[in-house]
Amino acid sequence: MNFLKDLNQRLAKNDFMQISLVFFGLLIATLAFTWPANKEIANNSYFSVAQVRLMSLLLLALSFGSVELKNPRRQKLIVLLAILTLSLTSIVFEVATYAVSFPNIPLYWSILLGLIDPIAYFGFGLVLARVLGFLRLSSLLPLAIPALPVGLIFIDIYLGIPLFNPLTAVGHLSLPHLFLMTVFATLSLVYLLNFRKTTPL
Amino acid sequence: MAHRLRLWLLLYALACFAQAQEIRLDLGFNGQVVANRWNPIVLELRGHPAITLRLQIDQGNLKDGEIPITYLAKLPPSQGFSHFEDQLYLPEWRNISWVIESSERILASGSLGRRQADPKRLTLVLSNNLASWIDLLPNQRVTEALSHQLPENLAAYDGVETLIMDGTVTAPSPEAIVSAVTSGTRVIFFEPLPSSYASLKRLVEQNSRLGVGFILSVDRTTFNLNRLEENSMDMANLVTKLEDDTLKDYPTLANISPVLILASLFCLAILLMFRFLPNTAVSTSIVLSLIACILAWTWLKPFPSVIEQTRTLIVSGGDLAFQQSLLAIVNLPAESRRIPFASRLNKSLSHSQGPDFTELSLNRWSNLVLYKKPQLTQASFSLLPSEKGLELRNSTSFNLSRVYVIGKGWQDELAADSQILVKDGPLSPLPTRLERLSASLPTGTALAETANLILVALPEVKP
Repeated sequence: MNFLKDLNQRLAKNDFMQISLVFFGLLIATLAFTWPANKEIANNSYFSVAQVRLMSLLLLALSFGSVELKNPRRQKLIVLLAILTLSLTSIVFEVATYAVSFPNIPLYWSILLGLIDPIAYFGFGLVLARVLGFLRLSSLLPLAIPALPVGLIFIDIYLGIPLFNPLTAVGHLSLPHLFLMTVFATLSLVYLLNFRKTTPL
Repeated sequence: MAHRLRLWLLLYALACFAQAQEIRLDLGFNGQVVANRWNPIVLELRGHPAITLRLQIDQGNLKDGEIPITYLAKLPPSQGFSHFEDQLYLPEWRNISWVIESSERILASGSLGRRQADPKRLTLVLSNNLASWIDLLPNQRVTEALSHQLPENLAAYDGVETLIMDGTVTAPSPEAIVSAVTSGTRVIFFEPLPSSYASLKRLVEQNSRLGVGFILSVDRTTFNLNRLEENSMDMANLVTKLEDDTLKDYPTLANISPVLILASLFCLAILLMFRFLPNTAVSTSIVLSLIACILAWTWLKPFPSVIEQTRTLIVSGGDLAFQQSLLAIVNLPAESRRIPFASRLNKSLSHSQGPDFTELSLNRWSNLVLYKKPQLTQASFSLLPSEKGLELRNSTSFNLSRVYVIGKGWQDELAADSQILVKDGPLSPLPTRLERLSASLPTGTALAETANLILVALPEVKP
């Protein structure tokens, strides 16, 4: 119960409240800009909303992952769960736009990505902070956080397979992306759940 | 002995060669194909395994690239003579290639280039002296036709403007002539005709107007091509007027303003929960989110997501009628469809066709109108001359409440299976659908409409 209480308290903290406010504001703005005024124009709002939502969640996961490196694993897990709570509470934006946009992918796909990809990217954040710390380049972290997804997108473009790029993965069913992200998410969770040996929940 | 064996082998090889050559594929009339029209296609062959006739029509352009239409027809194996006949709509093409193949080999193939894509309608002449007609028909796309090869299907004559007979060749079948006239072709008999044309001449005695077209019996001295134009109607032009905006109307979606207000309220509620519910923020916000998902789905999802509408136009003249049906599809999700009839589409789209199907993939948020092959039917709504004047007859099983005669005005309700005398009525405006059609119809034409059906009765031909 303490764990859940800590999670609720983490959500109520000022930094997370501000981030949530910006996150929801971004989704509403995307909705406003992409919802067509004329019924003759195809409603493509889903594609924009899904991409903005997933990309925001991934950047959040990556940032918190790299920032929380030095904190205990229990706290890292709480932050990750707070991000996943944000993901779950924002699903309604995807459901609403999916209902009117009729994309060629199933609804569960983007919901699944919204849960698996942030866990994987949280792990990337931890690794990124550790690598930069090892190289004594921690001051470059604010630059490295947006640079990493951009780099991963370029790797995808170079390979011609949607492996890391969430922007293309959200529009098409991509099993390689799902497999890779599931592997990284599992590794991240294994790492984060190791605290059980020393600290009770 | 060896010589005789060689001779037999040679004869056998020649027989095989002759058999291999016994394939006739005719597209259009006498090799003349009319672009943007239904064209007849005839395949005749002898002693063959199961074969497939495949036509690939590229209707693309430099901007959009290749847009292929594939036509497929399968013929079962036969030891004797096989005759396959169908009609195929050919849009303006870049290239048409065809192949007749069995599971083992290609039996025949060929192609038509872009330069043969002429949309000008044909003038068919049934005569053994074609050259003499070319002078009489300036600016016409004249071609020779063989009486016994004239198709007996209305759709085959979509690209035929005029059919001329001078009695110098065998008389064609009355069914072929009736199909041609009903489709809108002007059929002209040049007198004098031999006695073998007696059955055809009887058609002229009954009615000059049959369906959309008409039959005239003239001689060379009184023939005036310009006078023909006055009574002619191009159904392709009339049929396009069936298409209106109501057939392509997308479902109305929720306005953005309430969506944004509710989305903002939802976000505010979530943030307040995060802030002021220290013990249950996670569970309460997730439950609220789930409820919001269900409400948003039921409120926003347009129903139905695929709208299908049909419309039929029946144009009658005399006892026969030209029937054109269409199916309009407005679909929001992308999907593959198999429509159970051959059709032409109102836009360039890659698809497959067969004698009785159309297969296509529809993009999300698209609309499409599919025109069925036109058909010949009995006239169910017609104008009949009588001693008292002109009468309107309704042979359908339903009442026609909105009947209008161009130049005369609105008429009384016409009950099922009854007739009324045409009189002068109020000239108040026509409904939009009839208004669009009436602009292309001659004075004296009667129009009536029900929910999905438009009935048109054409008047007699002006002398």
